[in-house]
Amino acid sequence: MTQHTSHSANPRPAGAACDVVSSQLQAYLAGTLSPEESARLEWHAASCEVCEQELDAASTRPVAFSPALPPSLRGSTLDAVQTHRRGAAWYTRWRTREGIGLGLAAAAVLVIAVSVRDRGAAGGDRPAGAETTVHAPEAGEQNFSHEVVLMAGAQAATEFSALDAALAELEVALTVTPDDADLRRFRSTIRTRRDELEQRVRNAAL
Amino acid sequence: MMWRLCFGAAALYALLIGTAPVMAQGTPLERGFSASPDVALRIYLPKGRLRVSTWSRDSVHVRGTVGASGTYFGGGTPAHVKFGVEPRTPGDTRLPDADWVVQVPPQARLWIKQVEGDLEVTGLQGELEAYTVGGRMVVRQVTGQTTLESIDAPVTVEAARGDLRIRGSKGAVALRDVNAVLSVGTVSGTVTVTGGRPDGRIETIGGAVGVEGPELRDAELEVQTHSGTITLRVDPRRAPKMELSTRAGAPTGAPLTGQTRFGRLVARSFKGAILVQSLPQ
Repeated sequence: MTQHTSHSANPRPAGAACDVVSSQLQAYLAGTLSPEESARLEWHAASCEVCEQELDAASTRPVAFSPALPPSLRGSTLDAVQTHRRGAAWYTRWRTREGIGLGLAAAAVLVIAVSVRDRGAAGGDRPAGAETTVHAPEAGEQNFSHEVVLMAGAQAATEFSALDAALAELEVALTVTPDDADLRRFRSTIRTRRDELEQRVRNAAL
Repeated sequence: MMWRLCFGAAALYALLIGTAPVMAQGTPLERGFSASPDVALRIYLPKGRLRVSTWSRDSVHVRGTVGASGTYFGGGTPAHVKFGVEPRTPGDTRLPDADWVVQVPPQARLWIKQVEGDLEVTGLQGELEAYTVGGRMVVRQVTGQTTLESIDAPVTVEAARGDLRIRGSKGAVALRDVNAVLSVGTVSGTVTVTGGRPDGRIETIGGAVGVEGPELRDAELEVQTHSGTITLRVDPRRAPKMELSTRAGAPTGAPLTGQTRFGRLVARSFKGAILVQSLPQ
């Protein structure tokens, strides 16, 4: 196995070497490596400057087309295509006026059936198969986000006041006994609670 | 002419009255997703009711209604599923609402986001993360890692095992028969612990804390408040070793010190009172 000289001092998992990276690069980009192999490759690339550059360069290249099929495979593939075409000959026969009429009628029945099903089950405003489309309300996308954060802030206003008042009391107490471990612990707790509450208000709409 | 107008108005009124309950109930929804046993689920339901339970099937099932201002979205793979409601009209500032019953595999990993939600989760053995501002959270018989965060919503947890992390503010937290590694924090919300074997830490600022009849053998429960009153009600025959301190004066009530073999109970307050009571024999 070849090893590039610019490897860092990081330990390397077994089997992770530069020639392995080279040989698996296309499979990695195509997403056909196993999770373990991918992880091993990524780990190696992260610790090897040359492989990292190779990976970066390959990632930005257009995906290469598959090489020409070998003759044996080519023959069987062409046979399969012919079989598929013969199977599709019914379509040619149906390209008559009667066929088009019957086809339109069947399509209309299908559309009505799908529409009725969707209205009954899901509100009727989504096409069939809508499950495959996710409208993810990610951060900032929802229209009510601003209102939610305001609402959360308003709900938490009294809590922030209580936290600040408690913190002020402890600061005063600590001026008298600055080395009091208990007081410092109380103060630390309150600061943590305050940070967490701020975080919750900020994240209320995410 | 006049009677026709009257008749028309009456018919319209009857139609509106007749359809009003249907509109108020929302649009029916039923969806299913194939799911792996430990499917990761993300559910967005800003407003409304969400009841989650488990079943022994390799799928996730959603049934219920979607409110008038909301519309359903959803999708994913068997390993990851995401669904919820979003505003039907862009720019609509109303919270989209729904009322759903969701069934998931027991080992599912749930992430639930609400704003004004009424959430109930029962029987989950996987992970649960739930966030809300207001509303209500009730979690029962969960055994995995559970994280519940709210600002104003009261949180109730019953018969939980595993790891339990709760962050509240104003809302009260009630724990019943919780046998879990615990981390609870509120600001002014009260915390009550009844029974169970809570092992961990409870912190409030102004919220009162009540602990009643915990079984702390091989466990340690630490309670800390800034100004909230701490009330400990223990069985004198099985009282855990208690370490109590407050700058508001000496703890009051029953003079119990307890024994280490029944666990440790540490209560500490800056200026809140600490009261110890014996449970009736």
